[in-house]
Amino acid sequence: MTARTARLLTTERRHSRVLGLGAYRPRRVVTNAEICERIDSTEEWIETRSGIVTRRFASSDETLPVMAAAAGAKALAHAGLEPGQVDCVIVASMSNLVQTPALAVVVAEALGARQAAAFDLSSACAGFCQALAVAGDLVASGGAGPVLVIGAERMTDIVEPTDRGIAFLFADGAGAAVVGPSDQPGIGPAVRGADGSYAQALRMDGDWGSVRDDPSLPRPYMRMDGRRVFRWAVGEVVPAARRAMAAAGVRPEDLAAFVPHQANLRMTEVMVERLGLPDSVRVATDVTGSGNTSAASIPLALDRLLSEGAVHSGEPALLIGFGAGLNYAGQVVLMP
Amino acid sequence: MRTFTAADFQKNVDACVGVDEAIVFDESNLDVEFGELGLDSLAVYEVFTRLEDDLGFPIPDEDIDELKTLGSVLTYVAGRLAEVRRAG
Repeated sequence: MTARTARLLTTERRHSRVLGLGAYRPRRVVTNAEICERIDSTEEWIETRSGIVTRRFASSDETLPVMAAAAGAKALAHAGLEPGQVDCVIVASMSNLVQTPALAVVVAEALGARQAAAFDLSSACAGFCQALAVAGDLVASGGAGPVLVIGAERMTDIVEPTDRGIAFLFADGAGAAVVGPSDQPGIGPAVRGADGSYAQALRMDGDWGSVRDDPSLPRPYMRMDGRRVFRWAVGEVVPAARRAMAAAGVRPEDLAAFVPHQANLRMTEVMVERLGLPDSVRVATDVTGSGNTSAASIPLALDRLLSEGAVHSGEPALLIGFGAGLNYAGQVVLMP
Repeated sequence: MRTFTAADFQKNVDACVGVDEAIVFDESNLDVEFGELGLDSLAVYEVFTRLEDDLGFPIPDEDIDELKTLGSVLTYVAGRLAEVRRAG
């Protein structure tokens, strides 16, 4: 063994934790009444079936880099870090229409994080939890210092506004977390899974290459069979959430908060019942005012819980993201 | 659960759609399809997911897709409960 490999193999492992959170909510608030101008539905039906009362739609100047950088800057400020101290930026998004360069590189530049590595991660609505797990492992392995994790979405770019099945659900926004080294464990082991046999349940209905070859074709939009996603989420994601708790060594009554992907309030309610969470656990309901913002939904919900004083620094929260693939990822984290 | 009645189904529908949009199931609409009564397909899946908890056995998606009226649900669940009794 050379001196170099000896050093490699003895690199000290450390713990990681979330040091700060940040959110960017687009300016424009969209009511159910406005949604109903374009789909055959009613305000009451949308609220009853999804829990959503309002959501935010991004304007043309609220691009993915703008929203992601704004959320990232707030998370860095919350963590007490300067952009120059960031070692890596990871952005999770499923609605980025620009293939290259990676959104994370553009965001790092916008933030002034010029020492940072940067890459994107594609995992749909599970993207934030996947990226958080990667960031936690990067920090714990000594591979990076502070890592900025961002979920950023303009779902209105990939959802057809006249699709009555989902136009009322999806919305825009960005949320961010800073992950850094810690003396004590602050991010529990991740649970992850994917099942491509459900690929048709949540998918794009075409590809851009086909439109290039035949411009008369309609542009691709995202489509969802909500029934399949609902049943899969209850059947697969609930057990995964239990595994995340077991892996972290916490019981339901130990949790301060449950922050599932903000897909639909009804789904959250069924998950809470199946998990047997006691009333003492605060359940994130950010979907009611934000809609389903895919990879941004969990950090947005975390930011709201913390800023409203519903949970406090150092308290454990169970996160579970799930979506297209279908795929999921989750972990227990201590609040920053 | 040893028997399953319209009231058991009603309880789960109420939990799903809320009291403001109450859908009342009774003898008169045993054979009316859920969609006509205002219970959309996603709500039907939610109702069956809650029913599984009550009944203690899973109901496959393929079966749910075939069950379009309360009458068909009562017959189906009675059959499944009988299977459980035979096995138990």
